[in-house]
Amino acid sequence: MLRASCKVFTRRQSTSLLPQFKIKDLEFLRDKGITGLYSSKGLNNVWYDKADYCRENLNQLLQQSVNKNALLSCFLNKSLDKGSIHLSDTSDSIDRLNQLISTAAQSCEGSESFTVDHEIYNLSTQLYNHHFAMSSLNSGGNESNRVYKPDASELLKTHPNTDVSISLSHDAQLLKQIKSSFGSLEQLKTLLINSSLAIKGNGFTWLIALFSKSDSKLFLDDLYVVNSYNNGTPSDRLKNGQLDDFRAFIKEGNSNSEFVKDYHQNDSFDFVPLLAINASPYAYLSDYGVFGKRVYLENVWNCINWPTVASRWPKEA
Amino acid sequence: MKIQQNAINILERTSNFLKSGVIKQQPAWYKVVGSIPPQVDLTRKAAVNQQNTTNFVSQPSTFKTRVNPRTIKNKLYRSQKLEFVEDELRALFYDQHPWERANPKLVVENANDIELFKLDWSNIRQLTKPFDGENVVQRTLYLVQNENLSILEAYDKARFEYYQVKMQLEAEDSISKEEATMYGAQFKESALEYGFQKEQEVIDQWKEEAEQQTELLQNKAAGVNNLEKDST
Repeated sequence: MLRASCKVFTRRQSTSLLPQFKIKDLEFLRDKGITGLYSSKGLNNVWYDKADYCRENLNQLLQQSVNKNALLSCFLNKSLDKGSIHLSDTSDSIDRLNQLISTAAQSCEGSESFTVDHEIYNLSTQLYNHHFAMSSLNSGGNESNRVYKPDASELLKTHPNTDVSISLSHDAQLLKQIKSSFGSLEQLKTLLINSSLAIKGNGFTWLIALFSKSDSKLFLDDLYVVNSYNNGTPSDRLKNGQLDDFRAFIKEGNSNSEFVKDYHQNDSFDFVPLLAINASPYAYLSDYGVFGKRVYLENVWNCINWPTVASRWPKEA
Repeated sequence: MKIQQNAINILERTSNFLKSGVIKQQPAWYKVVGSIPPQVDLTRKAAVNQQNTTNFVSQPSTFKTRVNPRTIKNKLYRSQKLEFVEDELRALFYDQHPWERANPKLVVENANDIELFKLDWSNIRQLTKPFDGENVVQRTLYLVQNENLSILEAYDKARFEYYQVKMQLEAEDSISKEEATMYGAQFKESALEYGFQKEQEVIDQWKEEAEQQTELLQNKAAGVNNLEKDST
């Protein structure tokens, strides 16, 4: 589902069904923030408070859901089918969250009205997106970055992207692929920053690798820069919301259903997210002010943990 | 009706009649008309067209008031040729980027006048001016004056800034649309597309009818031919 959740939940202390969703590198930064990117308040806004909020509400909703057993089994089963998103991130809790997203998407499928399962799907994707974006960052930050609130004149300024370099060895597969897909690092940076700069509401900008599958082997198609809005994820299996919209669209007699059928059954592609940037206003407002999105994004670029990003490259490929 | 010429040569004819004896006596008006003969040819003739109709050259309806500067011998009175570096830069930019001319432009009078507001060219983007090639020209001049660059260096710098802003604006355009679509907006066809659709409906109808009629005509012709063959 891509629509925003507008329901406000009352917080209640309850016995938790869900594990804590932690990022190892960020565990002890709650009071410090990330040097050259977030103050402690900013980091709380964008990660700790967000994760707590999602987890608490998920806890409550999971108990209300009709498909409670199916949904909870994602966290109870010991053996785990890895689901559609490849996560080289070894965090077990995130793999399970991923499983929850798939299950929730399946149970939402076909239901016409907005149910608790939709809400669960929204919250779990939100949590997943934030986890993914935050774990792409270098917890050490970047000393040369400056965190400040620029004034309105910032909107008119241009920032030349020349001599961009990242901390990957020259023969790294990711770097080679970036160069063949986008031309150069500068072009990737420009595209990433322009894409996330253009998002007006909440959303994430992703660097995605598209693989075609055959005989359990993956062949790289290309790298893409994609935006997701509100609680959307860039996974190919979780197209519940889009499908609902499509059904409504077809009901009005707008399109032929063949396309949707093909789209739904086509399982020969695999989207692998490599990097996510949080472009939502709450991610930069407290530290960079109203006009500081560009400065924020430049700082994020300097704080990306490229070895982590490279490690997300699937092993089957 | 035949054109009447008789009234004019009345004197000539009367003389002939007198000589041959058809009329015996001179008419009373004979001497008067003889001394004051009718001089006007009363037949109307078409005005002769002066213009050569096969090689028609339109005459200018206005007169040139400006003196051709080449005909003025004294240099002092010749108008100056105005040369601005802006013009050269503008020509260079649009020569290198001809498609920048295709950008939609507001043609309201003064809308593109850069002197309407006092603009600060320390940035290439301006709040009160649409973003186009003129920004590159003005920014180049600013860089030459303030950053001590040669004109070509300054032009290159301004040009790359232009590319950057352009890329950003284009991304903004497409992503705003994508975002709105994702939130449920549906973009219906534009007025132009609607017009084309309506036109196409009529054309389709016409085509159908035309095909039917052609078929009918061909059948008819074939029928006639067969009949002729049968009869022979």
